Amino acid sequence: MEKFYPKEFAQFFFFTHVDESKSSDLSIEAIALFSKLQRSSLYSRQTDQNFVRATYRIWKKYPVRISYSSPLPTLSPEVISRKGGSQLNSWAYFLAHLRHEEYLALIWSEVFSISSSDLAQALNESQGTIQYRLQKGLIKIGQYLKKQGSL
Amino acid sequence: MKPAEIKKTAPLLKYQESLKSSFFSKEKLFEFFKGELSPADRKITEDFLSGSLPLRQELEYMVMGQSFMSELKALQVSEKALARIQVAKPLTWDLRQRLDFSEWSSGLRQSAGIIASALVALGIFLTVPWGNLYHQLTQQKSKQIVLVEAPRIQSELDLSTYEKQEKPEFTDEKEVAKTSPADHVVPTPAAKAPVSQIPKPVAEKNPSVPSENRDTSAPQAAGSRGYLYRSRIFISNLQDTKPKITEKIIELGGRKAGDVALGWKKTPESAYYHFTMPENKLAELNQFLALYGESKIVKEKHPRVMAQGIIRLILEFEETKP
Repeated sequence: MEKFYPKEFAQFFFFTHVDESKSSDLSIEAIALFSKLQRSSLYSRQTDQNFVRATYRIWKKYPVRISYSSPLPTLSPEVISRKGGSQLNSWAYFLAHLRHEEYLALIWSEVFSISSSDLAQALNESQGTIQYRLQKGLIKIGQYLKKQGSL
Repeated sequence: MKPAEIKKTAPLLKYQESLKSSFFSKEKLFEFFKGELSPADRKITEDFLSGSLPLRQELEYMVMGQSFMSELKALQVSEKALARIQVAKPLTWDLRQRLDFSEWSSGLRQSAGIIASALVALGIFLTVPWGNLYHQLTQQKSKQIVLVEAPRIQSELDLSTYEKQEKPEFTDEKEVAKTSPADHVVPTPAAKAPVSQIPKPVAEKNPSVPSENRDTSAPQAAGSRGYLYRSRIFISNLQDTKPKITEKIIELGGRKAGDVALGWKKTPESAYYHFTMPENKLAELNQFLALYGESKIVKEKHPRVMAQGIIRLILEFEETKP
């Protein structure tokens, strides 16, 4: 991804929090941080990594509160009716049942096509760890979907 | 190795190979799934997968998961939510994105640099008030002319200052000297003071101001409403007598009137007293001075008016010449 615009930030936080208004608020903060990182001498030109750094730092500041015990967020019909909106209920379920490292890695990798090496550098983890998280996340989603399909 | 030994070790090797490929394939399953393996590694994994149901199932789940994520990716945030970010985002956001020079081509960068330089030069040209600047520069030139003249003026000032320093600051005395130098019964040294130090207004208005020697009852010139008492006394042993005179003057209520102290040594053999004192003590002062020599205090007209009952005196004592 060459450039990140507000749309990408909003989309990230929409997937992590399943809340449009919250995604806007968090995006504003993340964009400011991203701009700062882009200007810094240490991280300049690391656009993909800076996107991960900025979104992860803001996500940690305002972690999602979806858990096993809490009810899944209520989604408006307007959102559900959008393209891909039908998957949002399942995604909300995954947010509650996947480890946050797994679903965050899935969003960065599968939605924004950020390479596992960039993710590893941005999160200060090994590439193998990132690949493991992605693999586990995808398997868990597949298992759930298969189970739902068989039912 | 004998053929029998080979037969014995063959199953073990096969098992070891199997373990190795199992471990490898599990580890590399994600890379296999992403298509990032080399052809040789891919062949090993495919061979293993064909005989491993759990791994095939995992691969199937991963494909399903990826498919789900691809569908989810299509889900976009509403324009309304984006508009909130657009409004709230820093004003410099778009500007920074557009002014990111590193993203520009080198030709575009050079052109932009030239245009920017030209604009800056044009801005300076239009902004600088050339008219005022020219005016200031020409003024500076005229100031330079003044500066050239300044040394001459300065030298005059210096001279006047020098003259001022040289003479005693008793303007009243000089006025008298100027106005009537020839009329003095006893010429005072102060009368020889530089002419430049004499205040002109009185001198010009009254070229014939009556001197100390004239009758004090003579018609008073315009502006000369005060009086000055003056005397010049010759005494012997001035150095010993001077402290006594000073003490007496102070005792009579005398106060220094000029800039110099009472008994100022005007010349090596003289003492100068310029002071004020109560008028009713004048007789007593006369009596005292008579003890040391012939004293004749003359009352002169003077423009300076003293307070009621206070008189101003200038007494000059000189050593009697043998």
